[in-house]
Amino acid sequence: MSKRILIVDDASFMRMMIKGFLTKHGYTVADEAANGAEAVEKYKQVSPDLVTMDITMPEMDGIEAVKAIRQMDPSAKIIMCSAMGQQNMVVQAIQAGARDFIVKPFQEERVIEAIKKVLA
Amino acid sequence: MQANQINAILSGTRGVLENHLGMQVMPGKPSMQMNPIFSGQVSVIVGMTGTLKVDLILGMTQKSVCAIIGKMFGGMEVQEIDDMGWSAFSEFGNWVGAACCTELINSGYEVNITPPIINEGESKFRSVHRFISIPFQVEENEIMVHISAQQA
Repeated sequence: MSKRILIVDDASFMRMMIKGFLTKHGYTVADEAANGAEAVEKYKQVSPDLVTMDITMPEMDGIEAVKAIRQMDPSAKIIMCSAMGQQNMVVQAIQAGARDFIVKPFQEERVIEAIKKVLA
Repeated sequence: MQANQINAILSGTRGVLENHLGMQVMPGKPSMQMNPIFSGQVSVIVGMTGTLKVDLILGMTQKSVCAIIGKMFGGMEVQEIDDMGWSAFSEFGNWVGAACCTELINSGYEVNITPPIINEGESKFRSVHRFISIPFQVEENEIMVHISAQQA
């Protein structure tokens, strides 16, 4: 069965782009969320195999959402996808429990490689 | 405004257009702008806060926006901007802001971006701060890059 992925990004364009990469490579999009709070709710509802998480979002940012999801499910697999790739941002994300960090704008191969590695 | 600040912002903006979107960019002659700053048909406004406060305005024609989002959609020809197109253009502003932040951080500043704001329709911006304006010839289109930076 194909792995189910929750896409979290406030930009509908980015969600569409990631969705395109995932479906092309045989993954199933479990659901989409446009902010951190929605991501936490959707995670509870759909229990995805993996989450792609933006950082800068309204209501609840991606770092806070990672913490909340990991509190519910310590084995949650989350990859951060952010335009802000500075060292302190990466460190914060990894400390919160993210497994990898992809800097936008990204290439399809980089996204798929990260997903394969985290799901392995 | 210092030269290294302006160069970092120009380099970040140019990097997104050239390296990520594969567009050819030819910067023109910079000029100091007095009020008002003309927006162009569409502009995206990106703010940076921290040890440096930056306002970056990219003003352009609707045709330039279509060219940019066409590249973001993987080389599609875009004639009209729909909701997905505006979302892509906002994301373009986000990429430019983040790239400028990276350049500024590499120059020793501590900065973060604010979410981009898009202005649709010809208008004028007025500010107490001076702007430096640089025209970017981006293939057959022109983008006006307006930069204001103040030490916090």
